[in-house]
Amino acid sequence: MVEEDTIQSLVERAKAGETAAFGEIYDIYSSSVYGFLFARLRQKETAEDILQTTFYKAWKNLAGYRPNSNAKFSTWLFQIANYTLIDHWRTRKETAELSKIDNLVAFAENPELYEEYEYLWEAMKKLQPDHQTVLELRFRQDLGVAETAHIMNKTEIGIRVMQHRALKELREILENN
Amino acid sequence: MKLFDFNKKDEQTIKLLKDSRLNFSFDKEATKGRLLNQIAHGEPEQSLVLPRRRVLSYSLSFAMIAVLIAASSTIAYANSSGPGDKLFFLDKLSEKAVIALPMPAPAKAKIEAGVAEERLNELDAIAEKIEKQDAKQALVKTKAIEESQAALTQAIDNISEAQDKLDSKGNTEASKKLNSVLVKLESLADKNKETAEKIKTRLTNEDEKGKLESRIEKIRTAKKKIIDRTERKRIKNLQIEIDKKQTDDAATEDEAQSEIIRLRK
Repeated sequence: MVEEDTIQSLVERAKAGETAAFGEIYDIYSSSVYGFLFARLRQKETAEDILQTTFYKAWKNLAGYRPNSNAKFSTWLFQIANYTLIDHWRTRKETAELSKIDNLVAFAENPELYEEYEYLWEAMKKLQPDHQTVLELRFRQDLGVAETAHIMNKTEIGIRVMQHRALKELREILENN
Repeated sequence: MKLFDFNKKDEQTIKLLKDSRLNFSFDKEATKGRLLNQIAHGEPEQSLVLPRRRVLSYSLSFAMIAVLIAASSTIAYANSSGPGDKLFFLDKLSEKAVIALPMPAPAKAKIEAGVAEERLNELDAIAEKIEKQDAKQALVKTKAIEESQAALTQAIDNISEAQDKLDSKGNTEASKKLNSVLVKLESLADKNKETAEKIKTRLTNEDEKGKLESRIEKIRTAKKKIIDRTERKRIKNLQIEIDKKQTDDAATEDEAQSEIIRLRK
């Protein structure tokens, strides 16, 4: 876990135009942001594209980023990722269900993990997008309520309500299956 | 806040979510390379508008919920997309991902044949529209031919390799089944050579015509490969049957001879 002070120092250097510093920021956060994106998209190439777009947007808007005691740099980054994801879905018209084979691609290196958690992934897909996002951020990305609220542009109470409903809904789906 | 404290069942679900956390593999360095390249080339600034949070902005909350509900909750790509369509690259990438999976060669060969068939069928669908397209559009379609020819050649090579492996292991039944896939590909190749030639007449650029002709030639070569291979297998199977029959006949003759000798005694 990298200290926030170190991150802020890298951000300042990146703001001054140092791409190497921004590259280090990418190295630190790309895996977790990718994990968030892939869990929602389940398509490797699309997730990589959106990851790249997220970081590019962050680079172009670094000047507007202000350190905040309530929101770390990662919060701002996840916020960009979340909205880029929403934009992506809004502009996509044709749809068809992702086949299991596409999921297998992600798990090809760990097929036993796919088998173990396939039912959970299938159940998560049935939740509404906001519920999927809140569960992903809160419990897979391990973010706090305040951070999640900031990323999803909701109040903390709103996030608590949402996560409560999402957990209940997920549980019901799993029990019915 | 007690109202939203986790109960025992919630805790079990949360544990499940946390246990299912995985580090997904992705091309981290390649993506970084593309990102830094994009930064270096200073592409047009993308607007970033992050909504400001307001404590009592119910209308904004409702608007956001409406947007999310309106957006598809099914994450997807269109498998019915074809060359030239926006989502075709997703279709192809997905196919490549499947083919890259570790699996037995015959299964992979069948999947590749399926991919080749799909590419060739997409080409047919394109040809139907070709009457209404102008020459510029036809250029896009030459890419489709390139795709279909490449898929066809790849499928044939891999099916042939899979067949050889099966034959060497004595698994003739499985090898014969792959043969029927080859025969199907042969008829598709015929159909699509015809389509490619039709598309060629729509092109006005000589360079493009030349490229298309070379693709058509490759389809011809692929077809010839199938014919040669199926013919060789047919002859080989025939030879095996003849040998078997001769062995059986010899055995029968031996039996008959033994019987005659026994009867004479």
